[in-house]
Amino acid sequence: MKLSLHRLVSRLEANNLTPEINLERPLFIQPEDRITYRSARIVLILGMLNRKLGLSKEVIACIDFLLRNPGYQKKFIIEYFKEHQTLHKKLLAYKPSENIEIDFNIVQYKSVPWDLRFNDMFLFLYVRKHLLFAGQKPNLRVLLSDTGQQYFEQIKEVFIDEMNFLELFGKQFIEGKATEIITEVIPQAYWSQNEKTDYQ
Amino acid sequence: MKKLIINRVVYTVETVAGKSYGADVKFSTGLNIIYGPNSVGKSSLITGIIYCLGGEKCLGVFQNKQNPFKPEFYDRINNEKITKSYVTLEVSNGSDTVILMRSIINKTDVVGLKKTTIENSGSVPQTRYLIASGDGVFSSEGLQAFLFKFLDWDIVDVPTYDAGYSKLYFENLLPLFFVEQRAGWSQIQARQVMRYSIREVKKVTFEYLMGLDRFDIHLTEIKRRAIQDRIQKLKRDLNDYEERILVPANGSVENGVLMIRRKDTGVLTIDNTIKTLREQYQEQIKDVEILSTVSEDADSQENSLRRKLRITAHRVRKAADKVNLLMQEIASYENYINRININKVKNRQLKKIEGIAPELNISTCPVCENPLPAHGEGECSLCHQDLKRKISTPDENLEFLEDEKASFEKILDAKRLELRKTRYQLQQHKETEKSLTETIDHQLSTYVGPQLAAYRHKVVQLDTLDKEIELLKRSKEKWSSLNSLRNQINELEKEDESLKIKVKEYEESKNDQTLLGSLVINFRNNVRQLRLLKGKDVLISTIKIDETDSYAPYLDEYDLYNISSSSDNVRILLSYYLALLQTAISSTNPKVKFPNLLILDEPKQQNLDNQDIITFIDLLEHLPKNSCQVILTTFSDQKKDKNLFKQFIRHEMFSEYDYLLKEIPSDSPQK
Repeated sequence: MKLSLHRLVSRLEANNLTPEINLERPLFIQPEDRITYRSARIVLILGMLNRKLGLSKEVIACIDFLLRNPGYQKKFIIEYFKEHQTLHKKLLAYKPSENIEIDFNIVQYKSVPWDLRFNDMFLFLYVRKHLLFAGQKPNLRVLLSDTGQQYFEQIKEVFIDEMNFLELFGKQFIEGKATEIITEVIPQAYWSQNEKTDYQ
Repeated sequence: MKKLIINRVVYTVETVAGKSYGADVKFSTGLNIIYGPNSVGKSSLITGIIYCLGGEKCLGVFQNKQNPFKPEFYDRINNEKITKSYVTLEVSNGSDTVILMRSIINKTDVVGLKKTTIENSGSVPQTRYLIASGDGVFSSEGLQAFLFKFLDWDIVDVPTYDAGYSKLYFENLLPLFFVEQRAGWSQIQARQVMRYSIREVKKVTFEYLMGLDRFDIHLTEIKRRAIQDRIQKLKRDLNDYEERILVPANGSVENGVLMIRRKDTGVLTIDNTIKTLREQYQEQIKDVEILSTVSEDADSQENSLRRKLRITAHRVRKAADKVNLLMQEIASYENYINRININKVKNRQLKKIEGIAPELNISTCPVCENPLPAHGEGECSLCHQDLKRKISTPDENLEFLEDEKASFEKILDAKRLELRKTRYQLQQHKETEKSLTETIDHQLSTYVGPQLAAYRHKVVQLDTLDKEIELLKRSKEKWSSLNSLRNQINELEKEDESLKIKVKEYEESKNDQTLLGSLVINFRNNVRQLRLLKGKDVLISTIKIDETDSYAPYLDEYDLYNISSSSDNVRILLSYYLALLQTAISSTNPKVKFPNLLILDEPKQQNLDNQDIITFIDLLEHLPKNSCQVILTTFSDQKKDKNLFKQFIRHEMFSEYDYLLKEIPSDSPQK
């Protein structure tokens, strides 16, 4: 082994080539930790729900949580439409991808599933003139700008499952209800048991 | 080589009150300018052409119920309800002329076809109907099939991101000669249709239309995939057969040789194991002969049986525990693989959006307003992060995940095999336990057993040994019968390897180098004329075409799109599309499929100067006559500008109220 490597190097050198051996590996960062990917999902949410009025940051975080963890989507749809007659239609129209399971190991949140990196993502989109902010705190709304809208049109083809989920909610998205399901119903349904064992 | 020539577009709209509206525009070869102010219908005219060719996906329309036209084409015009509306397109391929008709309201998923001109269409009664969307577009009655045949293009399958393959559609090729006005001017092939998830679609379409030899790489890849699928299936079968031998014989494979593990002999090759067992058999036969004359103490016999029962019961418990543990491990490995699959999907999405994601266009510091250097010394000049920290690209991620998945799958397979073996052992221990219990019961109830027990035990042992030898002999035969399957896999792997080498050869094709070389020269000439980068010749002469990505122009030292302004971006696009046309016209390679047509919808909306359009038109004038067709929609508020290209105007809208659709008097012959 050593000998053949030596021969390779000497033959390269004989041809006036300098061997450079680079053992550096790139840092493997998966899409969920990439700002381009995460912010594209925010554009998707803003492009699909309440496009004209915009959404609050908290609701964006809630919907992003559902897109990140598709295992909770079905429960969300049932809770959101439970007083509607269209529930069964919505469930029929919902076509989840094959690999869905509820991940009980996710970090459990207390109020809203807020990720510190959301602020970076909003900045990322804002400096690219994709976002507009309207209103004042605490009623700050996030909207897509015209360029954001164009960007949305270009990327929506790529996110088939995500679009399928977001399409179910039509143009009028009730934010209060969504936040309630995410902050109250889902934690109680899935991990209230864990909480008890944690604190007892 | 066939061309695509647009001869004529006719709109026909009828209202409930019986009024007729319409438009009729004739085109010729060479440059055709559609001239008029904003929002009077220049783009609607283009929409009609694209719509009749079934290319509405390139206009951003993906669902049947969405209509690419403005409401005055299908809903109400002058406050009257529209009852009938359709567009007729006359196209030629250089030798044949046909007309394509498509309704703008109601049933829009079919296109009518007549082999005649619009002028003579009355005398040809038969209309053939072609499927324009959904399933069947490539069937004998499909629009795609017709268009490919009309243009003498091959219908091809190309690889997709989900490891399958998809047809290359007309709307995938359209973005190389049609630029749509809203989103089309943002990048090369901006309106490319991503929904068929064709792998590197922009690259593939370029190679297809420009007739590059390396397009065959994609076809070879499909062939390779079929071979690889077959290898995988054979390997799975082989694995199954081998497992069926390995499990009962408690075997494993080392360098292709079947090894048997036994408690008393250790790990030996199957031949050696059989030999050893035969020797044991001979020895034990002698023991039996001696035993038959000796009788043993009955009590000690019974005690030894009870001890054995205890040991066996312990083994049963241990094996059962091991089965549970293995099942848990297998579940967790399956979970890992699942997660890897989800991450793979996300990486593919990331890869696609990275092509679209707009870069931040900052040339000065937002705080001190000083110009920013292209690179700081090893760090980002804005946020001072280390540039050396190389972050993986989605492709690298995919490779990494694939690797990870392969190793997990290997472990998973090993664990599954172990599980099956352990279950088999558990079963055997249980049987031993049962027979021991029965023997003890029998001895207790009859009191005759103890005397004969040792003798009987030896006979049973001999019997087991004999059976084991038989089993191993059979396993050995079966194992060598699998060799034909192994050879088959080897041969397929060799074929796969040779295809891989062939792909390499395509990459170095001379034809391709000539064509790409002439494309670069044309592109550089065009940008020079259009004064890109304020005409800096040093930079322009170093522009190259990126063969590894989507054949987009690039500079080695700078990001071409970052150092250029938004009007420069349009200059790059105009030059690029024109260079495609010039290269196709001048190429003698019969494989080039470019239809020698450019449809450019209002490049001027993107801050382009009037002067640039005039220069561009100048460049077009230099193309050989009758060799191509260019349809350009534009407008200028300067009368002197208009005079410069007056001869090319095929249709003009004179004011902002001069709409495309006009009422046709009932006594007109057109009606």
